[in-house]
Order: sequence, then C-alpha cells, then structure tokens
Amino acid sequence: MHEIWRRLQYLLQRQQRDAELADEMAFHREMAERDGGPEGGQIRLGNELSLREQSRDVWGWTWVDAMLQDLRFAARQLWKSPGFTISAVVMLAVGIGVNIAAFSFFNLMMLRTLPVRSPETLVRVHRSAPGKYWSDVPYPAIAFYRDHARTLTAVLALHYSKLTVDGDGGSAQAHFVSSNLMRELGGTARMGRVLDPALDERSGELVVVLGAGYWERQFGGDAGVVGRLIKLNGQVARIVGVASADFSGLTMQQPDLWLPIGQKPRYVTGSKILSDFSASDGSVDMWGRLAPGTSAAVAEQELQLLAAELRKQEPGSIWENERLITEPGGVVQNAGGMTRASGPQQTFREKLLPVFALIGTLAFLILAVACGNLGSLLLARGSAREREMSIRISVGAGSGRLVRQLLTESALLAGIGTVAGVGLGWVVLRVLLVWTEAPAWVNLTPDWRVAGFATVAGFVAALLFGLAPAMQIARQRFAAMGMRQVLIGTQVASSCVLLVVSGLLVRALEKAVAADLGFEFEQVVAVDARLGSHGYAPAAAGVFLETLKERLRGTAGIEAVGLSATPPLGGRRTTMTIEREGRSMIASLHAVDSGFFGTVKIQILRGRALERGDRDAVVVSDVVARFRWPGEDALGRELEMGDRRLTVLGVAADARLMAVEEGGGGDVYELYDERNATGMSVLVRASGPAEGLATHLREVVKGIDGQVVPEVSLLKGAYLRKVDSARRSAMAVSVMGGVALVLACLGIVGLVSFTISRRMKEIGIRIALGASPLQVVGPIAKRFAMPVGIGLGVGLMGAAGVSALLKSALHGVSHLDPVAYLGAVVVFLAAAVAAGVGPARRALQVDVAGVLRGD
Amino acid sequence: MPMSKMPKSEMPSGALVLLILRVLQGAPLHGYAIAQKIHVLSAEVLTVEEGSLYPALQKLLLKGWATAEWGISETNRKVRFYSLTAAGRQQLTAELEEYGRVNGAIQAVLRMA
Repeated sequence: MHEIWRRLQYLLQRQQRDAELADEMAFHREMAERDGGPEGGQIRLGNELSLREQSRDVWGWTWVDAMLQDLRFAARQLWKSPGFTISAVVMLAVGIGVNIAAFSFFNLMMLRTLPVRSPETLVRVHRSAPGKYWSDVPYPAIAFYRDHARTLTAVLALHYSKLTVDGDGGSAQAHFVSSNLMRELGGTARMGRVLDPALDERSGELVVVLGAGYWERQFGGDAGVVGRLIKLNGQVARIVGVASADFSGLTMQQPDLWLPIGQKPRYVTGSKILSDFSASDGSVDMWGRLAPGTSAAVAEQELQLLAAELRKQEPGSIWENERLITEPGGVVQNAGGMTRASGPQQTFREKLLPVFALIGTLAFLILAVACGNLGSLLLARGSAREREMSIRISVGAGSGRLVRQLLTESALLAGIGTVAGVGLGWVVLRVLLVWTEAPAWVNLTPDWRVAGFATVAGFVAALLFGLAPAMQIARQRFAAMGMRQVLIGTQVASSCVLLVVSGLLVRALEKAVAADLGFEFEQVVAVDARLGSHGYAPAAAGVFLETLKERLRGTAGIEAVGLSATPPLGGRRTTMTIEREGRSMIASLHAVDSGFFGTVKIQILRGRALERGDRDAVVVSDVVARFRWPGEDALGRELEMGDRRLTVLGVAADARLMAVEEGGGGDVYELYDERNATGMSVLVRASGPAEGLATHLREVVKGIDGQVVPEVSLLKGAYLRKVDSARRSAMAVSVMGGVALVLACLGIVGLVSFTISRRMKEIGIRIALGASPLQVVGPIAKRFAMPVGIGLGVGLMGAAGVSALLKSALHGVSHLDPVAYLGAVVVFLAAAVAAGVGPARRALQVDVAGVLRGD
Repeated sequence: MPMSKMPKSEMPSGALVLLILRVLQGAPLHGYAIAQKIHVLSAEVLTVEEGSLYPALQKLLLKGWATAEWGISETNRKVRFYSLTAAGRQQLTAELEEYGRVNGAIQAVLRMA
C-alpha cells in the first residue's frame, strides 16, 4: 500500500525527482573525476541519459512519458492535415453519435431510474395465479395490503381517468392517486402544495393539484391559480397547488390533474372503485416501497400470505394460489395500459427488449460503415506517409514502436470523435424527445453508463479502424488493395442491411395505411358511458344501454349500433390462450352484443353471427379456427376457456381489431354477460363522415341521464395514432439507412479517387494510346465489382437475419419481402455508380502529357 | 565497452541491495560514498557501477527502506544522503539471515561434495 503511494507521489513530482537524480549523478561523476578513478567521467558522458532512464525505470512510470510523447506527436500530425482530421472526426462523430443516442434511449427507458426519491426501493406489483394474470390490483385489495404488509413501508396506488372540465367543455387527463404518492416520491409543488394525506380530507373540500403542463396550457401559467375553484365533472374542487415540472410520477404520462383516489366517488356519482374487488370501474396500478433491508422476494412472500388471508374474506375475488409478483418500480412504466389475461404475460419491459436489440444492431452497423470509411481513409493516408515511415524505419524505429505511434493517432482521433459523438448523440436524442413529446423531467445529461458506453464505443472504433492500417504500414505493405476491398465490402454489407430494414419498414407502413383491417372503422364512433364509474348496477346499466341503442337507431345519419366491452383499436384488451398439441395462440376475447358484427362490418364466413340468447357459444375468427381445428370444420366444435366449454356457432373473417400492426393473433367473440353490462361501450356507425356525430351522441346520453359523462372517440383517430407511431419508426430507420448510404458512398468516392490517383500513369498511357473511355474505366470498375458484390450478398443475408427481429412491427409484410430487398440493391447500386462517376470522369479528363512527364 | 581497466568482479545479483543496506547501517551516506565504501571494504574487489548503484538506490526509496535528505558533502557541495528507515533495518536483518542460510548451505555442499 505504501509502495503504491510512493509510486504515485513520484509520478506527480517526477520532473523534480528526475532533476534531483541528474544532480546526484553529476556529483558522482565529479567525485569520480576528482579521485581520478578508472571510471573517469568522459566515457560515461554519452550514457548519462540512458543511465538516468534505468534508475527512473524502477518507479515504473516510463510508459507515461512515452505515451505523452506519442500523443504530442499524434496531435501535431493531425493538426498538420486538417482536411483528413475533420473528415475523420465527422465520420466518427456520426458513427459513435448514433450509437450513443441509441444507448442513451435504452438507458432512459430500461436502466435509468425515474427522478423520484429512492427509486431503487420501489416495486410495481402485479397479480398472478396459474392461468391468470392482471397488471392491476383492485383498490380494496391494495388497501388491505397497505394496512397489513410489514415488508412495505408505503403502498402507492394510481388510477387513470378522464374528467370533463366545465367552462371549456374539454376533458382532462386525471391521475387519481393514493394521497401519499406525491410526497412518498419526493414530488414538490411549483406553487401551493402537493397532495398530502394529512391535509386533503381536512377541509372536506375536493382538492386537485394541477400538472405543470396543464397549468401552462390552460391557465397561461397564472401565478394566482392556487386557491381558486375549478369545476370537474360538474363538481367544484379547490386547486391546492401546481406540481413541479420536474416531478415525473411513475409513468411517462404527464397528467393534467392529480387527485386523491379517495375522492373519486364524489366526482363520479356512485363509483365503487374504493370497494369493488371486481375492478369493473377501471384499473388501479399498485406500487410498494420496500422496507429498509427487505428484498423484493421477501415482500412477494409476505404478499402471497396476505393474499391467502384476504381470500378467506373474499373467496370470489382473490384467486386460488394468487401471487403478487413484483418488478422494479422506479423505472419508466407503460402508462395506462391494462392487461388481464388467461396466461403468463410478458411485462412491458420484456416486450421492449427486441425493439432495442434491433435499434442497437442498426446503430452498430452505422458505426461499422463509419469505421470502414475511416480505415480506407487511414490506409490512403498511410500511402501518403510512405516516405515518412520508410525514413523512420531506416533510422531504427522498431515496428512495434511505429504501430504504437499509429495506434496512438487512432486513439486520439477516436477520443475527439467520441467527444463530438457525445455531443451529436445528445442533439439526436433531444430532437427525438421533442418529436415524441417526452415530458420535461426527462434528464438527458449523460450518466456514468452513457459515459462508459461512449468510452467503450470510442475504444472499439479506434481498434476497428486503427489496427489494420497500422499493421500494414508497419509491415511496409502500402499497396494493400486486399484490405481496402475488405473495408469496402464491410461498408456495402452494413449499409445494405440498413437499407433493407428501412425498406421493409416503409413497405410495412404502406401496407398498414392501405390495408384493409378487416372491419369498418372510418365511420364508427365508440361511446364509453362509463356506467360502472357512475355507480350503475348491472341491471340498470342494461336498461340504459337498451334505451341508448333504441334512441340512436331512430336517429338520421346512424346506420348501425352495437356493443363491445373492448372497442376496436382501443387500449383495453382481454386475452385468452388457445392450445393445441402443446402450441398456443393468444387470442383477444371480445364480449359483444348481437349488433356488433353488423356495426363494424365483420363478415361471417361460415355458420352464423351471435344472436340474443346464445349461451356458452362463440364466434371465432378464421385464423383461430384454422389453428385449433386445422383442416376440419370448426362449426359445432367446443372451445375450452378455463373450465367452460363454448360451442362454435360461426367463423368470422380475420380482422385486426386491437392493433394495426398485429399479425398472427386471433379473435374470439362471445355475447356479453349482462352482469358485466356496466363496462360496455356503444359502437355507432354513421352513414357519412363520423366527425359531426360526437356532439349529438353526447346529447343523447345526457338526455337519458344528465349525470353520465361519456367518452366519445372516433375509431379513425385511434387508427391514425397507431399508424403515426409506425410512421415514426419507419422514418427513424430510413434516416439511419440514409446516413449509412451516404457514408458508404463517401467511402466509395474516396476509394475510386485513390485508386485512380495511383494509376494515373497507366491511365495516361492508355489514353495516349487511344483507348476508349470504357477501356480506361473498365479495369478499374472491375476491381470494385467483387467487393461490392460480396458485400451486397453478405448484407442481404444479414438483413434476412436482423429483420426477423422486426416481424411484429411489419404489419404482416414478410420480413423477406422481395420488393424491399430488390429496392435496397437497386438504390445501393445506383448510389455506388453515382459515387464512382465523378472520380472516373476526372480520370478521363486527365492531362495526359502532364502525367506522362511527371515522376 | 569495458568501464574499468582492472579485472572486474561480478556482483552476485541481489547482493548489491544487501551491501548498500549494510553500509548504510552505520551512518547516512551519499551515493558516491556508498560506492567507495563498498569498493574499499571489499579490498577493491567489488566495484559498484553507477548504472547499478542508482537504480538500486531508487529501489530502496521505492520500497521505503531508505530515505534521502539533502546535505553538504565533504567537497562542500549539496548532495543527497541516504539513511535507513525502520523498515530498512528490518529488511537488512531479514536479508542477512537469508544470506547466512544460503551461504551456509552452499559452504556445506562445497565441503561435502
């Protein structure tokens, strides 16, 4: 330990210590001379430096000096050729920057914790039992766990809702949360206060905290807003504060309003959210704060015991063998999504992984293209430095020393490139976040992970582009065509993959936009009266729905009316697992009424649609029928669902009801259970454009019950939103492909120019002897045919592999779609030829006499 | 290139450090004096070269066996004097023991074989 300390001390004082040593040795020599000893000074004089070096070597720091020397030399070299340096740095910055942006995004979504207090001790809680899964937990169960769990010091609840705001008639995104949520997460108020369990109920008033964005938009950032009253769903609430813009909450969603969940029933008359175990009134997500020193596994064990305890009181609501499973809660979560399924589910984070694998691969390919380019650039520079290297070798520089010098140059370049890349990555990410309307609290400052990643990326890049040319130069093989061809091949292959992938995404987008989803959505409006939230009993809800349907049917401009618990293209989804011989298929389960098929125009291929009074009967989509009973008639067969057996009455045409891009999943339709009438949405098909219908629909609902505030949405709107996200990803990948193409073309331009410059004499002679332009260019072009050809081949194969990751995003376009592959090849060849034409033309216009006279 | 006109005796490797430690046991000395003392005490058989003396002294500093202080030489010049530290004394004892052991063993072999 002391020894290391002394070593470090020496490093810091090494100039002084060296001087001391020199002085000491000079004294030694003086004395020796005075004594006239045999070792007289003169002989030694020449060795003075090397003797001192031997002594310094003991401390083990000589490499530092050598490295500094190399660095200084490298910096001088780069400074002397600014053209080369700038193009190399730009190239690297692009390659590294894209990777850093991709990694930062991954970091942000998957690794980085939310800016809340002690995010590492937060867990998100889901329900699970054999054959069952819920992402949400009923509020009364949450309350039970909160009161009894000792492994959790706090339990947080979050319920997404919408409230109408009187005055402007608009609706606001509301997060009904447990009162402790904001304080527990360390949230602060920009003005006034945040929600607080100690204060919220004191006055007996309804209290609301405004989201920062909403306050700016709706109140123009008015400083006097605290204390004012606001009418929500017809109820008067007092604004007690404005949340700080830095407060993230637990999702990426930025709610307009924060409200105590305990007050929800006062906004929505008769809401049973606080007491209803069936959670028919929307979902409540649960988080917990682990007690100090408690692991998530221990908490899971305790929660499982508590669930068993609760099951004694609520046998119908808590499942047999119910487990509460946790996942890290202090990281970005899917907001507002709710999954209730009859089988184990991938979490939001697990679903994101393949997306990031794809982004990462593409980003790495861009880096490969950039490095390929740099490699060629360095090789070309290497031949320009042929003389310098020869001289240095002939005066005795070892090849190891030369390689070290050249690698230092690469490392310096990589260092500058990385710094520039971090900057560029930051800009790219910034643009990306603005584009996706990310919340203000998202922190883009690179953390240690990003810094580490950047360092590794820079290091890898330096090795990738620096090592091969350095070895070649040191080995004195300047003509090195082989290496150049490998580099060109790599670039072609990488850009080819990127082009194919972007081509595929563009094709998928085209298909999605032009696609027949298999049902009518252009003119359909979904009306969610949220009867459950308004305290309707199932029977009353049934009457309400019948009245509503009746009144709508009589209205001009309305062609058909139907019911569904899960409106098409909406966020709600119920799934079931269909199994056959060990393979399984996830199907969406739709609880509908008899009017559903006619309203959204889903064709019945065989058998018949569901009719009023059909019990234990289903209609399945074609893909389900073919999966479950291949080669047989599905009609009359029985489908197992849990312990129920359902007779198949009809087979419906496939429709992509839940997601534009979905492929492979099927649908099962069942008549809705009247006990679940409170959760049904009404679907209305207009005879003309649906836009004008919304106001009318609201009025009709109000006419039946003035208390009910329905949510009216055009299916077309949901469709456009979904297509839009597909368009964004296609565009992002196209940009990446474009960048790679440009980089690869730059590489080709450079290579062609270089080749031509080296063969100027030959070209001059050929022209002088009367060769036609084709005869001159032909042999040069031939040299490139092979690497480009092989690169294309490898690239196409690579693309086939990478695009398999994309399958789910392709909207049913095959990931081997020939149009995309051919398109990529054509685009690439066109670009490559265009890149080669310029330098070739210059070659043909060469001053023959000048070239032949030169040298 | 020979550094000395006299026949030179090779110093066994590792022995130099032991000798320096031993020579410093009495009083602090500067580098040249250390070389001289070894030379004289060995009846001019052993010659300590500059090229091995100073690396060895640096090693003593690195290991913490000796410290160096500026002082004035007999020729009235500023020079560094090396003196043993406690760790240096320990090291000397240890090396002496080890040397005695090995030396005894070698002697035994030479006598008996």
